[in-house]
Amino acid sequence: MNYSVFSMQLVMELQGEDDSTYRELHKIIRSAPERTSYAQMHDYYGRICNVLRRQSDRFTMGVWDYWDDPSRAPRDFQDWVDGLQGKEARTEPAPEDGHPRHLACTLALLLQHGSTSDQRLGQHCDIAEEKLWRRSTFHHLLKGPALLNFLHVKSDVVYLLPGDDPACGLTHQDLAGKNFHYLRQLT
Amino acid sequence: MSNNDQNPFQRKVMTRLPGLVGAQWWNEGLSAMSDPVSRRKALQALAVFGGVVAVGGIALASSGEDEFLEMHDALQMQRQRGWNFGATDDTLTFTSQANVPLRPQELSALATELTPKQDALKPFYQATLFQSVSTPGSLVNELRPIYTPEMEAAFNQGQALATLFAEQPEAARATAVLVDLPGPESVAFAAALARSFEPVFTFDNWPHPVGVVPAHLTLAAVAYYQSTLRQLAQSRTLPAPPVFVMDRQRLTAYTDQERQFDNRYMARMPASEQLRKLGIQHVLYVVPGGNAPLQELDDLNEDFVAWRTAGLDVKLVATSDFRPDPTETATSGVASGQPTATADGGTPTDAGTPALASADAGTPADAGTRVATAGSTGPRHWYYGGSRMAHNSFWLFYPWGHTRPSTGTVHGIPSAGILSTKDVTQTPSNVSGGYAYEPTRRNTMFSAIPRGATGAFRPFPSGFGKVAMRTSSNSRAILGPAFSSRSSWSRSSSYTYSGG
Repeated sequence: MNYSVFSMQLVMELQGEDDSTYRELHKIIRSAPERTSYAQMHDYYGRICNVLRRQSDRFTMGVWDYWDDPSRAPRDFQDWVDGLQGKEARTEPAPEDGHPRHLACTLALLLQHGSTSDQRLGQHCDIAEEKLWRRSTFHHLLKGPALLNFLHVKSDVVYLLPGDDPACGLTHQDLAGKNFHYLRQLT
Repeated sequence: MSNNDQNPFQRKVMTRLPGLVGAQWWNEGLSAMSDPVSRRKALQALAVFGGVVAVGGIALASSGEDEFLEMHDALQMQRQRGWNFGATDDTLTFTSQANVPLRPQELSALATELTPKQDALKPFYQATLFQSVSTPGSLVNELRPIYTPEMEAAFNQGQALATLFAEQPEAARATAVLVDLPGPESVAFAAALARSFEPVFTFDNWPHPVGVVPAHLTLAAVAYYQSTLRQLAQSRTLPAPPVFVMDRQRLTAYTDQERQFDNRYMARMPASEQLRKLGIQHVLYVVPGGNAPLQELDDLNEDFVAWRTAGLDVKLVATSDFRPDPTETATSGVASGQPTATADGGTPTDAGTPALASADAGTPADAGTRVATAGSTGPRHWYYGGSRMAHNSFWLFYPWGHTRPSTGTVHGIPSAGILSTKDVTQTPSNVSGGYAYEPTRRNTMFSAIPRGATGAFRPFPSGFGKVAMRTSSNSRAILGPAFSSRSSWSRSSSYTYSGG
């Protein structure tokens, strides 16, 4: 079976450690069921994307990809899965410096190549070059998972930085470092 | 209908850390790649479908065995299980061992000691290799500093380049040097530049007895130059331009999943805007000469193209462009009081490196560039184009210099001092065409031209830097690595310096 991949990572400034968006995302992701159905998985991603879409004005940086190249999709997806190991995450809060902290939310979906879900998502991701890095584009793309029949999703991953300790938000220096070198500023 | 049929998504990973919370699922309703296969076939499949298999961790059941193969990050496994896990009976081999004592306490300080002093360079520094000896253990005990003939040559070539930049300080300040030679030679070349350039080490792996990348030799070379690098760091004037130190063997072909350990990695370079912030306008990429192609390694292609697109001037030079002048003798032009090296290459002093840090070292132009080449009768200087008169023609081919050489000398000898064609006294015909190099986009395993969004290349391709681990189907406990250490691979001739 061949695959396509859709992935997205979004960064926004945390409004303190009690940031409601962080709380909401953390709660949803933490509730990840051990076994679930296609419909529940559809609902699960729908909730995450809705939370994010409501905050699209706050997006500061991001990256997204859609690959329908079967030779590339699995490895691209694996790269995002590797993020679950927490290499990019803070292990402890950064020293207080008066500067804001940031959250990063990542989701990636490995799709059955050529399936109707894949085709729908591919059309949805057909974005003009000049619009690639706009907040409005990310807002649009976050509607993508709702187009999917999760029957056609082979694997999926979602994670949020910071994790259980909201004080472990990312600093500007973290985001400017090598671990996040691929992020783009959004306009 | 069973519960599994009704709920085909099985959660495979749930991570809860202070800095990250996340989960991954696998749709067991899609059955691709779930056919039981033999372990050998599984390993072959992992090489091809590494990403997919690793993600699921369920797909490749070994025939007749209650276990399956799961891909893990190789470095992560080493950190958890020890640097030589799976091959603890094998040993590392070091040839050309240097006659310098190994000081475990000093080795443990490598990771912090070699951190760039300039904050702006710290994000690009990789301490990974040095962290492998940050705590006492068997690796520290096995390590032996090395000093090979190739390192000696690389050091001399680096010093020849240093003399050129010493004559053009403005060009030096605006240039990032990327040294991409086999690890030990990169270390030696960078050590020669380290008086005026700040080394940024990029070694992002650990040694392993059956590792496909001989990282232990790079570490052994760093151990040899440790005291020199320490002294130079203390005396270097800041801000200093960077010299990125890379191991060319990081992308060594990984062909035998059953007997090799994949400790490959890819170089991570600053973005063009980050280089701009450092005041960098030029990039000089140093590669070996000989038959090596005059182009960047695959993992650098996208960076180089992006740099060029952003207006940075990226050029290449081969180390073979720097050679000793065959017409010079041991006595020609030798200024008194300058350091002279011996041919046995046994200690850092022999390499002339302490001269760089010593009070009488003067400028890099006169800092120990003379070495005794094995078999020669005395010390000789190394020059671009292989002759003193050709040396400064470098700036003709790499037109980054703005000032006429202030001293008019190189190695204490009057130089050609050229900045224009009419001043060229001798244009070398025997240099590589590196000055004409321009990075161009090409397809590599690292290429990432995603549909819709461009420019977001990923850290590691599939199956790269991974190790297959046998995992219990019942308890999900890791049983051990799938590769075998039964070969004597680490003592084979695969490594440039191995076999002793």
